[in-house]
Amino acid sequence: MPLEGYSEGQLRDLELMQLVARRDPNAQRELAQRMVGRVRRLSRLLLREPVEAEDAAQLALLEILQSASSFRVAGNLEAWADRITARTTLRLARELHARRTLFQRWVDLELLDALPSLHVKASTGSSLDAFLARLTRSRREAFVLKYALGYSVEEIAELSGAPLGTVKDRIASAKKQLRGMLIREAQRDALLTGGK
Amino acid sequence: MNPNSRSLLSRLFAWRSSPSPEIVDYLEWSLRNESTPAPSAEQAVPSAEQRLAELAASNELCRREQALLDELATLDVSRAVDSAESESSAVNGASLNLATVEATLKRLRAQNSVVALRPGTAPPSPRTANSHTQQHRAPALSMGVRFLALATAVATFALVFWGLDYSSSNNNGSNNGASHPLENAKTSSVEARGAAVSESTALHDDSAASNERVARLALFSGSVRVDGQLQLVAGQELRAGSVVEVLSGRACLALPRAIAACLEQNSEVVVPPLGAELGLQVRRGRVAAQLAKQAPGNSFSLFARDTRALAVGTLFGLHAHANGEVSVQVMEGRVQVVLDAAAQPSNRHELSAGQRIDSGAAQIQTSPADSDAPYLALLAGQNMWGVASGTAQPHAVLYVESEPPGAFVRYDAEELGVTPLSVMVPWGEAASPTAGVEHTVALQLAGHESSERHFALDKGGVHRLFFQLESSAAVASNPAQRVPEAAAAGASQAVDASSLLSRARQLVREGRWLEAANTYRALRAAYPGSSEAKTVLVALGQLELDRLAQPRAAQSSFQAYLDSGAGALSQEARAGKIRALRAQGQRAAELSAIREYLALHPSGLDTTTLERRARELESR
Repeated sequence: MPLEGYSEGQLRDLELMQLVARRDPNAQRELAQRMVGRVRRLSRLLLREPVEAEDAAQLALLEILQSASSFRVAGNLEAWADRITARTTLRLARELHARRTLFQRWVDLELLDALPSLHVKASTGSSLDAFLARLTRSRREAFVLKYALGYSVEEIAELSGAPLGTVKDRIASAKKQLRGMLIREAQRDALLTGGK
Repeated sequence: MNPNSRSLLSRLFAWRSSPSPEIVDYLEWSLRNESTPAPSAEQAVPSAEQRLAELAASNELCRREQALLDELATLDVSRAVDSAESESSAVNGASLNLATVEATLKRLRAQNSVVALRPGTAPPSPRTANSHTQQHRAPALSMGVRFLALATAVATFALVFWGLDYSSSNNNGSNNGASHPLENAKTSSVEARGAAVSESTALHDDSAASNERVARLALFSGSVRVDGQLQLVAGQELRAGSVVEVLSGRACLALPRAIAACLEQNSEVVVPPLGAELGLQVRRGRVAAQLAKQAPGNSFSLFARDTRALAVGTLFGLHAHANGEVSVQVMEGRVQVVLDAAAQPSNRHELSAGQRIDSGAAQIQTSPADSDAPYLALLAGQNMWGVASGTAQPHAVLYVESEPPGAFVRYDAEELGVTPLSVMVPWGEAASPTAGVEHTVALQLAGHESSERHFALDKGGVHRLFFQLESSAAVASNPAQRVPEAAAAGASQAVDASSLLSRARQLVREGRWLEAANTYRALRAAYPGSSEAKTVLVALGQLELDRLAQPRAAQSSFQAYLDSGAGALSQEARAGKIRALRAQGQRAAELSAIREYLALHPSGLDTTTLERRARELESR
C-alpha cells in the first residue's frame, strides 16, 4: 500500500496498530494507556451508572485492542476508537435496558419497589454530569453523540436504530432540558442571593 | 424582545413569575441560535449575527450553556472520574486509569489463555463442538412438548425467562425431572434470543454463546454484584461471561448437571459457556464446589491463573489468594490439578479427600484438620436451594431484609447468611416433606431483639419479608457498638463498611433520610479509620442540612471532613458549610467561609453567586 502523503503521526499510529494486531504486549499497553481516559470519559457520558460505565469502558478497550487489524491509516486513531467505544457502550446500554425491562416483567412489583432505584440522583450543580444525569437514556445518547462526537443526525439514527425524526426530537428535547436547567439554576441563585 | 416572543417563551418554559432580564436575553439568544442558519454568502444577516454575538458575550447563561457544550465537545479526559461518586476514585484518577488498563490487558490475556488451556488440561471429550450444541437440546421431547415449546416461543415473556418456561413444562407433567431446567430450556432459548434481538436493534450483534443462560443465582447474602448490578434476586439467570462478585456475605450458583458453586466474600468468578467441560474461572477469592457424579465425557473444573482443578464428581474448593498463589483442597472424591497449565499441561497431580496443594509449593499435602470448614460453610443450605434450583420442581424465592441490615437469617433449621438475603426454596408437592408445613424465618442481630415469622409457602414467585429489629436497651444507649458486635459474631459474613455504605445509599434513594443518616453515623462509629468514614461526612452533612433541618449538625459534619485533611470533596464540603452557616444566620462566619471558598476554588461554578452573596453580607 502506498504510504506517501501521510503524516508522521499517522504512520506511527499505523505501526502501533499493526503491532497490537500481532498481540505485542508493549503495543497493547501503549494503545490501552493512550485510549483509556478518552474511552472512560465517553462511556461515562453515555451511561448514568458509574459501574456500568466502567464495565463499558473495559469492554470498549477490549474491542479496540481486538479490532486493531481493522484500523486503516487514512483514519484518525482517536476517532476510530471513539466510534468503537460508542458502539460498544450503546450495545451494553441496550442489553442492560432489555434485561431490566424483562426482569421487571418477571419479578413481583412489590419487590421491585423495595429495590434501589436504577436512577442516580442528579446533583444540584450545573455541571455536565449533573445535566446528563437528568436526561433519559435515549436523549442522553443522542445528545452525547451529537455534541461530543459531532455525529450527524443520520449517523446517530444508524447507531441507535431510531428514525431520523425521533433522533432530531431527542436532541431538541435534550437541548430544551439543558436550557430549562440553566434557567432554574439562575432563578434559584437569584432567590438564594435575594437579587434579581 | 417583542411581547409576542416573550409570551411564546413564557408558554414554552411555563414560569410562575416574570423572568429576569438575564433569562429573557438567554432565551432570545437560544431562539436566534437555533433559527439562524449557518452563515453563507447569500444568507448572511449581519444584524442578527451581531445581536447573537452581543447576547452571547454579555449573558452568563449563554456562557454556561456554551461552556457545557464545549466541555462535551472536547471530551475532557481529566473529568473521566466523577468526583461526587467516589472520593478515592477522584483522588487516584491517574492510577485508576492504569488499573483499567491492567484489568483490560489481563482480561485479554485470560481470554487467550483460556482457549489455550482447555485442550491440554481437560481429558479428551468424545463430543465435538457441534455435538455439544445438540447435546443440550431436549433429547426426547414428545410431540406435545414440542408443541408446547413452540407455543412458549411465541410469548416473549416465557421465552426469555427460562424459569417460567420450565415451570409450565413441569405443570404439564411432561418433564421427567431428571435433567437440569437449563437444558430443558435450551430449545426455546434459541428463539428467545431471536425475539430479544428483534426487540432491540441492529447493533445487537452478540454471538449466540454470550447469550447462553448457563446458571442461576440460587442464593445471595450481603452485598453481591452480577455484571456490576447490585439489584439482584435469587433465581436470576446468569449468562455465559457474566461476572459474579461478592463484596460481603456469600453467593451460590446453580449450574447444569447438579453442580453448585459458592463464593466467599471478596471473591469473583466468570460464568462459563455451556459445554461438556464446564470451567468456572475464579478471578479472586475462595470458591467451594459440589457436584454429583458426572456422565462420561462431562467434567467440571475451577481454574485461576495457571492452576486448574478438574473433577468428575466430588466436593472441593479453590482459593485464589491476593498474593497470586492458588490453593486447591479436596473434601470428597478425587480431583486432578494442573499447575502451570500453560507451560506444562501434562504436569498433573491427583488429589483425594483430605489433601490440598498450593501452586507455590507444588506438593500434595495433608489438609489441616479445620481447613475444610470455610469451604463447607460456604455450601450451607445446599440441600434446600440446591434442590430448588437443580431439579425440575417448582420453586419460590425468599427475599429477606431487615433494618438494620446484617442480621443472621435462619430458615427452618438452615443458617443461610445475613440480610439482605435472597434464596430459592422448593415448594409444592415435590418439595415434600416440607410441603404444606409452616416455615420459620428467624433473624438475630447482636444488640437487638431476635425476631421470627411463621408462614406457609403456598405459591411460587417472590416472597418478601421485612423485619424491623428493635434494639435492646443496652445497645440503644450505645448504638456505636452494634456493628462491631455483629461483625465479630459474623466471622466471614461480617457486615463491612462498604455494605453499610451501600445500605445508606439505598436508604437515601428510598427517601428514608433519618435512617440513612443513622446508617452513615453507625458506619463512622464502627469503622472510624476507614476511607468510607471520611467520605460519608459530606453526604451526611447534606442530608442533615437539606432533609433533616439540622444545620448545626451539618456544619459539624462538613467541618469534620475539612479538618481531616485534603479530600476530593473539599469543595462540596466548603459549599455545604457556607449553606449551613447561612441557615443558622451566622453572617460573619458565613462571610468568612465564602472568602475561604473563593480563595481556594476561584473557578468554581458557584463563584459568581458567592461573590454576590459576599458583597451583600459586607454591605449590611
